[in-house]
Amino acid sequence: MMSRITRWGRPQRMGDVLESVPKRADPLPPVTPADSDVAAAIVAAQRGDEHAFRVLYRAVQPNLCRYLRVLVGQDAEDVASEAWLQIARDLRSFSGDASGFRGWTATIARRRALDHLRKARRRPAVALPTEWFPEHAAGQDAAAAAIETMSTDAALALIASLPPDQAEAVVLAVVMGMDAKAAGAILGKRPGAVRTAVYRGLRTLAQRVDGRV
Amino acid sequence: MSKHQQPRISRRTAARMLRGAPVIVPDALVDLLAAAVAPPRDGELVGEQAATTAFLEAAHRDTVLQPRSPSMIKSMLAKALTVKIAAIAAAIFTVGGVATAAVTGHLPLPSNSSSTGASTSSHAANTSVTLTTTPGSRTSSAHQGSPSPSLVGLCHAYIAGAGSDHGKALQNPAFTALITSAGGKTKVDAYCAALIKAKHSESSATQGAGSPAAGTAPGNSAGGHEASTDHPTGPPTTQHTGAPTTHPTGAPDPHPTGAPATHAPH
Repeated sequence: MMSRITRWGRPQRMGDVLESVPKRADPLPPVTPADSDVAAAIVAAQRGDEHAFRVLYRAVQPNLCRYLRVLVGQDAEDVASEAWLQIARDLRSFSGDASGFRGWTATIARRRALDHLRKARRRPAVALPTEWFPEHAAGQDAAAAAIETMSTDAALALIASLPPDQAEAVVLAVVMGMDAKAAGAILGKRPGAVRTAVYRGLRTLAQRVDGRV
Repeated sequence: MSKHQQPRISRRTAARMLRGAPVIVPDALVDLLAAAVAPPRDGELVGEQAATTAFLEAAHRDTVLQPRSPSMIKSMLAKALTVKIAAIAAAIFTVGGVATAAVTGHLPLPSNSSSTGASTSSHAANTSVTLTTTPGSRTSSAHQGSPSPSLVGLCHAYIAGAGSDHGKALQNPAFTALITSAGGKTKVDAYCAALIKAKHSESSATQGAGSPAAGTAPGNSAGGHEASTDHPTGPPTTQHTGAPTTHPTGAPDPHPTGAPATHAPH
């Protein structure tokens, strides 16, 4: 059987995700802290604790940057830097728990990304991936590259190749670990619309990686 | 190994995935999604120092520019709320949360179980609070009345980082202000211990004093029509001087209540 039962949608528990794919053991241990640690770090960082802020950065930045990759492609790191400037500045005004913090940071990052796109006047999901992903070299099929190497970049490139609304819904659900309501709040959509977008996106992805459609 | 046996992605699959429930998806899609959420690599954290610098600058600016802004009480309340939420989140996590997550891979959502988690939050609150505020236990003469919050933040940062590389921490330019205030690198330890201790006692005092007693007294709601009679009695006092007897209706008797108010300015 070529299928597995897997849980998604709460990737904060990255260990679980990796357990389902043991062959993909990464040399770097996951640094994603528990939600309780994040919540404690929020409180401490709001008091000015630098170490706590670093904890928050490490907890949020990798997934936030991946979300931005799907939105703005190779400019993700720049946009993430801008987003973090704002997060650092406005952190004291935030109130909420770990998942609330993820949503808050995602909203800030998204706003920055849309500003960026408005300035650049282009849709990077269509415009870019080729030079941005080493695996996705000239003429190579993104899906084939994803199957062979299954790097994070290749996976994100595949997700980014979906229609923008589906790509964003999938990355919020899978990478940011949001439920339909939280993702809908960020996207300005009803939860039902988010579910539909995720469904369509996953279906297309499954076809692309499996049937090479 | 026909691809036709692959499970199909249904709406239900997507809905379950969004709930964090287990889903059955094709192998290749599992690999793809796993790659998308793979642990962070080195390159993904390159902006940490820049972000942290911005954070320290923002913290410094906040405290220097508006040390006593009216929003302070609001932010204090927000912080108290955050502590409560942190406690609840911690409680959920500690009370069987780890086991649940490990077995099912499903994190209990705070929004669903916060009411049940609150009953056991007291223990977790202690852990989360002590986690965030662990000043050095050294005692020193703390005679500063109100330490600058940014210095306190720097102290927290210094103490948090001091465990790993004590000497190097102070070479970070971010600590320059701290070293200056302490009067030398060697005095930072004692200075921070004193500062945080002072800050602690101060913040606990202000939180106690912040009890809601500032309601404006609504007292004179019934005096509305009295006030309207007050007004005419004000000017009449000058008119009365001219002809006190020509105004029999304006006799002092009908306005005994309004009298004190009109007399006060005279």
